[in-house]
Amino acid sequence: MRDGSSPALSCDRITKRFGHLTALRSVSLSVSPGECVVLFGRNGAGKSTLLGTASGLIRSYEGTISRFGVDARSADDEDRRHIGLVSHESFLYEDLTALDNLRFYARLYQLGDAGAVASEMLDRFGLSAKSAATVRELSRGMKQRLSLARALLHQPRLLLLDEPFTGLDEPACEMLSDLLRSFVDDGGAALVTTHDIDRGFGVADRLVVLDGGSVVHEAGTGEGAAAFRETYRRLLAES
Amino acid sequence: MDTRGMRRGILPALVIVALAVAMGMVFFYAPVESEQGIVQKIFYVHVPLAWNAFLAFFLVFYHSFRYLTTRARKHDIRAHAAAGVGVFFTTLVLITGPIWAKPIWGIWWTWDARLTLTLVLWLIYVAYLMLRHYVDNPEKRATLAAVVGIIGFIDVPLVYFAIRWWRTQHPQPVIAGGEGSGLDPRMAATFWTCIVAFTLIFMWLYRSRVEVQELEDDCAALGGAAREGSA
Amino acid sequence: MLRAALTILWKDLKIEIRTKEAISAAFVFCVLTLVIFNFALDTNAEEARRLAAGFFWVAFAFSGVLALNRSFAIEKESGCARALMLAPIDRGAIYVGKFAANVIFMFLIELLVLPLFMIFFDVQVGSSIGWLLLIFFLGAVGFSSVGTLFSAVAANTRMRELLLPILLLPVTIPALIASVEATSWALGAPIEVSFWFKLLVVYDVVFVTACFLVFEFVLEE
Repeated sequence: MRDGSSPALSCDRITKRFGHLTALRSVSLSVSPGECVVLFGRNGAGKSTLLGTASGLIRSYEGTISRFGVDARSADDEDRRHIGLVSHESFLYEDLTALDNLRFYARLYQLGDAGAVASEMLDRFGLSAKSAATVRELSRGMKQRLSLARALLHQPRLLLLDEPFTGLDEPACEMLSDLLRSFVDDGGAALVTTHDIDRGFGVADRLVVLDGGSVVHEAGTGEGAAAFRETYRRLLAES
Repeated sequence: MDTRGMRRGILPALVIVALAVAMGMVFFYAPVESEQGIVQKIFYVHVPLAWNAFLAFFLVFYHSFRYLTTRARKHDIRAHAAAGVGVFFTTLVLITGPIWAKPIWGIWWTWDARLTLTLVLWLIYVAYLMLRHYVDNPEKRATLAAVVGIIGFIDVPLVYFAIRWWRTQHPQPVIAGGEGSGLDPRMAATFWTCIVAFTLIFMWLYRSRVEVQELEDDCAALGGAAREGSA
Repeated sequence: MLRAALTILWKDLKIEIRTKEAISAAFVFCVLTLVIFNFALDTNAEEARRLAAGFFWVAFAFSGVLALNRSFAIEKESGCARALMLAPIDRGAIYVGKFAANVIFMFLIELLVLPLFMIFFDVQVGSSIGWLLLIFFLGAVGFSSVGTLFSAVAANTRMRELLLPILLLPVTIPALIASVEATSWALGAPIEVSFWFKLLVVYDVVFVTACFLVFEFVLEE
């Protein structure tokens, strides 16, 4: 049963320990449809861990995570359909062609005519010319575009992006920002982690800062933003 | 003298007593076997060691299974401890076997069914320990080790049957005879005393390893808390 | 579940068809092993013929490990294993799909090496080809059942190429012994063989089931 008004992602008092290291300390966070929440933090602050629990890849933690009103612990395989993940890893098979990669994922997600869906996606991302090229042969920029195409192929409603701007050149960053904005405008929910302040501010509707596994600051974009920027810059400078 | 210290001391004390009694029986009570002579007495050490190694690997299986169902660190500790003691005992079995074989058969190794099974077990559990060594993330290490611990143990009966059947088709000299079958009553008594003694040794070593690991865990936790407290 | 498994199987087959890495490496390694055996003893001799089945399976075991290594290496590269975990599929399908692909690869390796083996060891196969194929299949299933699982285990460690053979080979000993004995029988040795076939089948059933059940734990983070 899915409640239309419930947040896309709701993390309630999430605590995660790795042996003796506590990566997340009672972190609570929520992302609503049509909203882009940007999670800032230094390296080791727990951003990737939080994303790992939100995506369901990390399965043992304390606290509750709900996606679209469904508790992650009681979610079945189908509930994962709505999640998309973008990270510095490409999730692409190097030895398969661009088209075959997308066809594979289209089949996995049971998207109907896999070939058609894949071709259409390649078109949208301007990669049709390279559809028969293996991923290994693609340039870095094209690989990044293909990676994004893969993430959005199954039209997720919740997009999780782990340091997506790292290693991207200017045009790619622009494309990603535009993509995110239109995704969110269309009603998608996005949670982005980054330590790049300017990029983060560019896409955020709400800002959260994670430090040492805890949420230390939360703000909307608006008048408080400039002060927030300063606080955060200072926080980074301390490390 | 605190009572906890006294209680903890019971097991080591028992071990010393049992071992003394057992060794006394082996050398002074049990008769010397007519065919094999004094070398046969290795049997009293070799077989109990093997039996305890098997017990150890069963513990690895049990705690591996419980770890996967509960994710409780204590099961990971116990599985690791059992594997370590098991490999140690298995190594001793593999050493005492040839020591027995050489004077009697003139060769060090005969691919005897039990010894071969022990060798395969040694390989499986050494691989288990190596696996643990090469994984850095503690949770991942525990999970992967548990999986291997379970699969390894399931393999044991299959290895046993395969080797036994192969041996009946390709017979070779047998080391260590049957356990307790057709033994002179004094030999049987000695044998069972040794079983008790070595099982106590096993329990003591196992418990020590578990305790050491738990203490290390506690130290690391304190260290972690101290670091976080001062941050 | 079946559909997802088939999709994964299709993907693995496509990659292998394109790169031929696993099979060619395994094949070359197998030939190399057989050649070295020839230097260890005169493989045309009567005695060598009796031991031929053993050599075949030893060569297979070592080259099979090479091929299996790749099975999860390709998933770890670029993080694809996580993408599979994230997909709305029964996670058991990942095991089934990769297991099926590995059985096919192992079987192909066996088929490729068979003619060479017949030539190097001067072995007649003739009418027992049917039995041989059955034994090859059962052996491939047994080897791949644990091999797929342990490939995933080893892929999560620092030293996967070293750990996979060390973990896998001891556990596959019953299947290897049974395969060797059954192959010897198929080639004419007077062996009481029914036990070995039974052992192979039991091994296959037990481990496909057990590995399928625990596989999910290996992929979790």
